[in-house]
Amino acid sequence: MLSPYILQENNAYSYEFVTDQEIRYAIYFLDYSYMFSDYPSIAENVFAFNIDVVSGEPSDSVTDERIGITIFEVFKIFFSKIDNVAVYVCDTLDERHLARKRKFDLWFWKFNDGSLLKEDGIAVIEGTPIYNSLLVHKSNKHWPEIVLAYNELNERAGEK
Amino acid sequence: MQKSTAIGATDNSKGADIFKKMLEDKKAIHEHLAKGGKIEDLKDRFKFVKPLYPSGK
Repeated sequence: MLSPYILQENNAYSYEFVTDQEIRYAIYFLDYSYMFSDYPSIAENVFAFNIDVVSGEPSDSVTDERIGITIFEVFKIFFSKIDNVAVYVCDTLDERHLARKRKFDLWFWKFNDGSLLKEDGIAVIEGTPIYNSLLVHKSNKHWPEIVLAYNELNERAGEK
Repeated sequence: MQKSTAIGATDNSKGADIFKKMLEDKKAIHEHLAKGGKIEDLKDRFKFVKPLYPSGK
């Protein structure tokens, strides 16, 4: 059975890990509590989740499942606070946002231990689709409102 | 330094502003890391939050 990479805590702001291919990744969360500020009962504890390459050249030809396992190890820590909510946005820097979404979907399907709910959204802004996902713990008593508020943000993203 | 757009300061919907800001933040941090910068250099510019192990480690 594959194990997660060792999470390094080199600073107070992110986790880092190094893969077998010598790629160093950073995982970090940004506070986006104002995302649901129109819904005071669920406004707190909303964070943007991100993973980025710090050094090395990831290759599409190498499938490293331990990266996904490591990410879900971090989610295990993150969602030990049941009220936490994570939002993941697939970046559009290089037109590979749909491929990133598929990879994230696959990791969720494979490595979610059943404790998390995922809701997907597509915010179409100025004709560009921004793929994003919401993660919430199944034991979060506010999850129906959170999903509702999240869907509303996506559905109304194209409005002026 | 890239200027951040305040939510609600544009004619866009709130959702559009939020998702665009998320992408801008992600891009700015990516570019900083790609140039060899460190996450902690950006601590005054972005509100990083690090979850702790349940034990508080």
